[in-house]
Amino acid sequence: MQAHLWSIPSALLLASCSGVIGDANPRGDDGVSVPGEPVCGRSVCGATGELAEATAFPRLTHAQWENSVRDLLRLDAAPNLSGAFEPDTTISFFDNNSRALRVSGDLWTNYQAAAETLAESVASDAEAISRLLPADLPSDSNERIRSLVSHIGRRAYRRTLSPDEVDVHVRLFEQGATHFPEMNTFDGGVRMLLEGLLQSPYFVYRIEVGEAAAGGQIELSDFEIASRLSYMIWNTMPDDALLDEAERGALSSAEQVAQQATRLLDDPRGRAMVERFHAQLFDWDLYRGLSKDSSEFPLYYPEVGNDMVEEARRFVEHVVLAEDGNLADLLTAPYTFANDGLADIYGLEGSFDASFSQASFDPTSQPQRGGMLTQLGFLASHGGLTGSVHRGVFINHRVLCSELPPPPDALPPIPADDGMTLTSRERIELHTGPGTCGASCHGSYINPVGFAFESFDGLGQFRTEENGRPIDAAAAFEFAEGLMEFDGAMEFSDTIAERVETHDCYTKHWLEYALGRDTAGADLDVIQSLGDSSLEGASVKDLIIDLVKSESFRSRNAEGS
Amino acid sequence: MSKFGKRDFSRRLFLTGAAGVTVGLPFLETFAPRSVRAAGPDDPGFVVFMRQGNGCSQAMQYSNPAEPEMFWPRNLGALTAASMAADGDRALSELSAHADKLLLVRGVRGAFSIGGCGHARGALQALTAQPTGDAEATNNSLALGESLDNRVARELNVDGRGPLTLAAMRPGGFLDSVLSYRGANDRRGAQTNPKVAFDNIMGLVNLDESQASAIAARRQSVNDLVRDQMQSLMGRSDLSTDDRNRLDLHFTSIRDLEIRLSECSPLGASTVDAINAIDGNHQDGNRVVEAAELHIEVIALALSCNYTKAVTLQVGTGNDSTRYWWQGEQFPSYHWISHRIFADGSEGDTIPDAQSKHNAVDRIHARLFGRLIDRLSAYTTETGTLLDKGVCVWMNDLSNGPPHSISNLPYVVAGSADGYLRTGAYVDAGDTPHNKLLNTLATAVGLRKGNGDPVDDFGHSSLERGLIDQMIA
Repeated sequence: MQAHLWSIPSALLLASCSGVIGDANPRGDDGVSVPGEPVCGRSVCGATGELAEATAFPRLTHAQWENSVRDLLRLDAAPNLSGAFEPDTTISFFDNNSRALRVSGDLWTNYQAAAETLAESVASDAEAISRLLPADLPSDSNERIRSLVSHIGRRAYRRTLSPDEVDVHVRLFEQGATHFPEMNTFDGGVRMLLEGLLQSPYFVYRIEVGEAAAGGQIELSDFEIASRLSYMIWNTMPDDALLDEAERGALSSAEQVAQQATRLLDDPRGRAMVERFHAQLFDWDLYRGLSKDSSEFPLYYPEVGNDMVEEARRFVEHVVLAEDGNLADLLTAPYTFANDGLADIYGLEGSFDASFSQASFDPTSQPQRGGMLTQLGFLASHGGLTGSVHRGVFINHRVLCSELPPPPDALPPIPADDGMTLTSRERIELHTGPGTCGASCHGSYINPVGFAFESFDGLGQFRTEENGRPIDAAAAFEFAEGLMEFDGAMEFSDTIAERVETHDCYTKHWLEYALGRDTAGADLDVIQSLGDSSLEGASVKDLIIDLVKSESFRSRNAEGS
Repeated sequence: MSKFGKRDFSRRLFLTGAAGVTVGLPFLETFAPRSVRAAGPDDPGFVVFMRQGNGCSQAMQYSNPAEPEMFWPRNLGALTAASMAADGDRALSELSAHADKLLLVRGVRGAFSIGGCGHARGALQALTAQPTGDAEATNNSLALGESLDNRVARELNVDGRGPLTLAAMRPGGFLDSVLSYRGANDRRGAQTNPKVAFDNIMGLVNLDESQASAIAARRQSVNDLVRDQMQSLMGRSDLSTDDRNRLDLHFTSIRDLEIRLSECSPLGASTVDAINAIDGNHQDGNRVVEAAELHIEVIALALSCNYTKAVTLQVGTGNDSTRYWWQGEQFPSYHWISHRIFADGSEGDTIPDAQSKHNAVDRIHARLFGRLIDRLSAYTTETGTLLDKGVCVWMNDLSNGPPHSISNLPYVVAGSADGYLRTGAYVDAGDTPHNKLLNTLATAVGLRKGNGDPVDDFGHSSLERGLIDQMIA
């Protein structure tokens, strides 16, 4: 018996798959999206002109708040205060979807307490204060305060302050003497100023009110683009160099934005983004809770889940950053990263120890392995009798962006087949295959994908038989181009690596992550243009750069009032 | 035992210090301008919702053979300790000792039939009596209005504080926090760490009144600047409705400090130790019951301190897959048990004695509820106990396992809300939609409509109005 510590859609039988894919070719007959007509495709469903909801006030996620505070105050490490903040709910694969991010009464109290703690901590430490001062501090005391306020204010609000704003903040600074009589005037002023800056909406939100409206779009200012770039790629506030470019007005053209994006991507913090995006999209957190019955899986060990996350992390980092690889590489590259524990499960030749090293899959002895979908974490976190359904649903949702409706209520449990020894596939097909009411969704979408992975058991180990019966991993799936057949996970991965819907789905997710919102019909052009590039072999890094060069990145959807 | 006075704020809060010595300190609260509230009892009560998922072990016609009744007592009518104990095969017998405080209500159904995922459908409407905007319920579907705990907090928490929203669960499942909504499509995340909840109630600094006044003045200066900034943003003509709401929520959250002193009873040193000890492991799937027990201690503290008037405690995720322990044996995933098979869907090997296991999980939750009743009963007031001043509800977002029905949802109520509700009774509401039960609870704790009438219209405007008379004393 396997123990699943996660929760998955309750029932397998679907009443109908209405309002979904049908025969519609998402690209139209000539490959171009048909203007004005509803398009329901692999990537996005909705009328082509439809704009997704886009707030002008996306709040910092708690992780972004931590990083921003660390960088604003030039701390050695993030203060780790957000663990006590009111938690955000998740409504998408990514934690930065701004629909879920608001300042409620409780969170406001959290921000206030954190601001006061941080302000006190910094202002009581001369060295900490010195880190915040501009290089050329004037000697005149009034000028000194204005200079300090402008300098810190620009970094806190991520834009230059107007002269009036500087006045207001200088007055706040000067109140430090009243409210902190026990401190020297300058230090007390710094403390007062920091309390104000950290509770300001200009700190807590990445405000995107924009500069000019054109059609359904609001063009963003250079400073707003700087914040978008920085929060997307580094998950923190812009550095001084980026703010300088924005201040010079040198961050509005596509080329200028691309140049800065490249600089950010090449930094270690950019590496972390690549990992973070894939970790959320492929739900690596699930691996950590893995718990298997070691009598059924003797090679299981308690830390295997963490090792599987490490494998996935190193693989993605290597493919995307070291090899400048693309989506097809992520799906099919014939190697992985393993330590001794994982190597045993894979059955890899060679010697391994507790550290991780790159390991190739020999095409003769291990032709069935390659890419993310044959890695242990994905296979093991969706294993067991109904593993094929879970794997099928996961891939449909996250890799193909199929618009599957949710399963209906569970029907009465089906009595165990008595006396019949069946493989998992045979059992599932008995109840969801042709002739059953689940056929439309299971038969067409979920089962063919899931069955391709039948050669891998609940721990991700390769097998050729189950319960004494041979494994059958052959299936067929209806793609936009037509029905295509494949036998096994590797052929499936190779097949989807060359399908437009896979690439559209991937670029759609990148757009969601970059913009912190859902996508809708109006995003189709960008998604498909990037999808085309990806299909033709553009690297993931190139996709990111192309994305930030697009109009979508330098503007925001306008909203009716 | 401590005296729980009627909102008398002249006494000091006592914190148990490291050596067990009590330390007095003022309990600081921040204030919003008081919104005009309809007339109600001068001393409103509180509401606690303790939620179990995946239905209960009541009789079910769905399977073949049908499953017998294992949850409810045999007979409607008066409840006594003896009568409940006599039904020892029923899960509710676990609460026999509290019979005179209980009101069991059957015959209540979820107001909205929504297609899609049964767990999502039950959970999103449970405390909101609202449907979702999605055509079918999915794990990302949101309810179209605020939940009752939010409404109670909004009207009765004097300081603008939100409801206390807690969960004992390993998050990251199919459905995470499910119960509490600030408004349409605005679901609140639950706090899973008892220590964070505890610290938020207790934890400020040791101050005297002049220090507190200094803080108040300073915060006012900062708040004034921030309010000005917010108002200039809110004054823009190009804001969307959603953004306007977003900024409003933030703006009304900015509160100036007023010194208030509250008395409440500290938790015992060993309890505080246990709360500190679970910090970091509070999301361990194998410690869900332990985390729930500690949350209950925190709830008792919060209510006795008048920290909040509304609490939710969600036990398990949306389709709780906790592996509970019972009599030395660790069960399979509770979600699997509720499906009666070793799987999350409708296909798999049958779990032996699945209904009995479901019954055992019901008993585990009954014991948690009993613990909550015990803790609140330990605080006495001039008129009774803290329990009597409000209402605690053990509820479930589903009524049974495999069918995921929302007919005959199990509601176990404890506390009379100052005599408004019947106690010591098991009643049948006669297939009534659950918004009427929520209306009854809202009225019981002191909410009223603008004209002073009982609340009969909580939830979606399409629902039939009214209360459940069988619940009212």
